[in-house]
Amino acid sequence: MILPVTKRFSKYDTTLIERLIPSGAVLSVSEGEEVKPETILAEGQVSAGQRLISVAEILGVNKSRVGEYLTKKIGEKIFKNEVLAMKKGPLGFGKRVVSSPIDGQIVSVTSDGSLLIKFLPEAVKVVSASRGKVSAVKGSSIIIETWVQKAYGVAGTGKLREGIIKVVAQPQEFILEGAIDESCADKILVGGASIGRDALEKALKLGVKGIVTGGINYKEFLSFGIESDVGFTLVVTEGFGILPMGEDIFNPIKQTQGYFGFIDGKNFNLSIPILTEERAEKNADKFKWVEAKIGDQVQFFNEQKRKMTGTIVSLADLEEISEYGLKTKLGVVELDGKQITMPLANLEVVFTT
Amino acid sequence: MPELQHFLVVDVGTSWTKAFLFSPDFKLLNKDSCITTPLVKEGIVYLTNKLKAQEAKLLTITDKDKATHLQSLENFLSERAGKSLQVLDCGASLFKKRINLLELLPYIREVIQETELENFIGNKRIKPWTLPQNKKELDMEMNFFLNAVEAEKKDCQGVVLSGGIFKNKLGAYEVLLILNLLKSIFKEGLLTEVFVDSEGISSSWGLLLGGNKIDKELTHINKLATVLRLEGGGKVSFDFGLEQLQETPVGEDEIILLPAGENQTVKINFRDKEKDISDSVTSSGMGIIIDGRLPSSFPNPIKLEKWLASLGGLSVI
Repeated sequence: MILPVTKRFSKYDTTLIERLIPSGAVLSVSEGEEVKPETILAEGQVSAGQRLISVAEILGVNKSRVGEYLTKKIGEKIFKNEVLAMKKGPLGFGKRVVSSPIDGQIVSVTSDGSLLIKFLPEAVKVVSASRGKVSAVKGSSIIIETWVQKAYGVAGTGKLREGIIKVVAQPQEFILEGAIDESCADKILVGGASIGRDALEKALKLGVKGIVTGGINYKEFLSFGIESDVGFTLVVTEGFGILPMGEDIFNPIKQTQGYFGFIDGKNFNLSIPILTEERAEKNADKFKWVEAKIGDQVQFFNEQKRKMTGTIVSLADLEEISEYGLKTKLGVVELDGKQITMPLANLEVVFTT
Repeated sequence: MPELQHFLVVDVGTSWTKAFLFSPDFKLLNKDSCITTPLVKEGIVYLTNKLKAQEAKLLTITDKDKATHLQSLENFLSERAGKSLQVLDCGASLFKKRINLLELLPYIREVIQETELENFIGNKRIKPWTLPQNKKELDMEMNFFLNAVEAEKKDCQGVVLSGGIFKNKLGAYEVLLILNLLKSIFKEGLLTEVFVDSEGISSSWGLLLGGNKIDKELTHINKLATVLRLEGGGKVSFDFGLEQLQETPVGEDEIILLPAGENQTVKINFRDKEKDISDSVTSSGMGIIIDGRLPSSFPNPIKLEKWLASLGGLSVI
C-alpha cells in the first residue's frame, strides 16, 4: 500500500509573496530586482477618501444656514477632535459643538447641510519584508519570490494576511479569550489545541490578522463560511476537535516569535521569510506518496487524538479483520518500545528536509 | 487464435482507488484482496504497475461515469433476480453531504456528544481515506453512510449496498442500521431483498457487464437477508414446504429474525393494513427479518439491546 508523505514544516522553501500596493503609490522596484526585507517597494501619498458630517442635524439648524456656524473656512486643514462648527444656546446654555473625527481638509458644505471633509493624504511606504527577487509587477501588487520557513496546515479560511508572529498558548492549551489583548492587534497568533467562539470574537474585535492553532471544533470552523473571509485568517494544523499542535510545527514557529509572517487561509499555511542571505533548494510539493516499507518513520493520531511518531515494524500483505471488525491492511508501529497495530491507511510517512 | 485478454479495472473513488483483475471469462483473479490505495494520481500509477505483468486490458472508472456502470449492474441484477433492484453507493463521496447529525446519536453504542461526531465527520472530509480507529468511530462512520445515502426508486423490491464499509465484519448492529435505511426508503408491506457488495466491486462489475452483455458468475455480491416491514406488527405465516405452516406473531416495535436454509424457497403470508398478501422468497444469508417497528419508533438503550438481541448479535458475513 502507498502512504501519504506529509510535509508539516519546511525550514527552507521558496514561495511567492504578493505585496499589495495602494493606489497612488509610486513603484520603486522593477521585475528581476533583488530585494532585502527593508527595501521599499513603493511609496507615495495616499488618500483614504472623504467623509460627510451632518452639521445641520447635529446643531439643529436650518441646512441653508450651516455656513454661519462653521469655525473653520472651506479649504482649511482640520485635525482630529478640532471644533468644526458651534451653536451657542440662549444665555450661554445648551451649547452644541461639532468636532472633526479625522485629520482632513474641509472641501464644501453640501445642499443638505453636511460638511464634506477629505482625508489628509498619508505618507505610505510598502517594504519588501522579505529577502528575494521581484518576480512580477502587476497593476496593484508586486510578487516577490522569496525564501521562507513554512508551516503547513490541514484546513484554513481567510485571505492572505501579514503580521508579526506571537505565541499565545502552549500546544496542549486552549487559546482563551484572556490570552488575547491589545498587544495582539495586527499580529498572527500561534499555539493551542483549540480555540473557542469567545476568543475568536475578541481576536476579530481587536484586529488580529490571523490565528494558527492545532484544532478547532468543526461547527466553529464552518461558521467562518466556506471560502469566505470574516476579517482574519485561520489555519488549523492538525484537524477538527481538541488537537494539540504538533511539536514539529510549534517549536520552529516559536523560534520565529517576533518575526514577520504571512498567513494564507486558502492554502492552509504560514510563511515566515528568512531574513538572512542563506539560499535553499526548493523543496518537494506538500504531498507525495510512497510505498510503505518497514523502517519508515510515520505519524498518526492515537486514540486520545495525540499526534504520535513511530516506526513501521511490520506490514500485512493481505487484508485482515481488526479486533473491532474493520477489514483492511494492518501495520504494526513501534513507539517508545510498545507495538501498536493499526490500519496502514491512517499512517503518514514523515517528511524530512 | 489470439489469446484472450485479461481485464484490469481501476476504479477511482473519492477516497480510495481500487484495482480488480479479471480473467478473460470475467472471474475475479485478485480474490485475496482487491488492491486498494488512497486516491491520487500516483495511486493509479502504482496500482496499474503492480498488476501490469498480467498484460491486461486497462479499464478505468472515474466518478463521472460511475452512475452508468452502477445502472448496468442494477439492470443485470434485476433481470437475474426477476425483481427490480437498486444499487446504493455508500462511498466516501457521501461525506460531502450535510445531514442532521443529531439523528445519528441514539444509534451510536457509546455515549458521545454531537461535537465529537461533527469533528469526526469534519476530519473525514479532510482525509477521507483514513479508517475508523476503534469501534466507536466505526459506529459513527456506518451510521453516517447509512443516513446520508439516498434511494431514488422507492418502489423497487430490493437493494444492493455498495461501499468500503461493507467490507467490514457485519453483525447485528450493522444489520439494524441497514433496517433503519430500509425503513426510511421503502413502503410498508414490501418484501425487500438486501444484497451487500463485500469488495466494493459494483462499479467494476457494472463496467464489464455494460461492455460485454454476457451472463457472468457473480461474486462478492452476497444476499444479506430478505426483509419484511410490518409497521406496528401483525401475524406472519411461513411455508417452508413442510407439512405445517409456521405462524409467528410480530409485536409492535419488535424485530424478528427467522433463519432459513440457503436457497430455500419460503412462502410468506401476512396482512398489510387491510389486505392479505402472499409472496415467496428464496432465502439465503441471514434468512428473513420482520421489522415491526413504527416509523416514529425512537431508540433507547433498552430497545437497542432488544433489537440487537433479536438479530442474533452475531457476525453475518
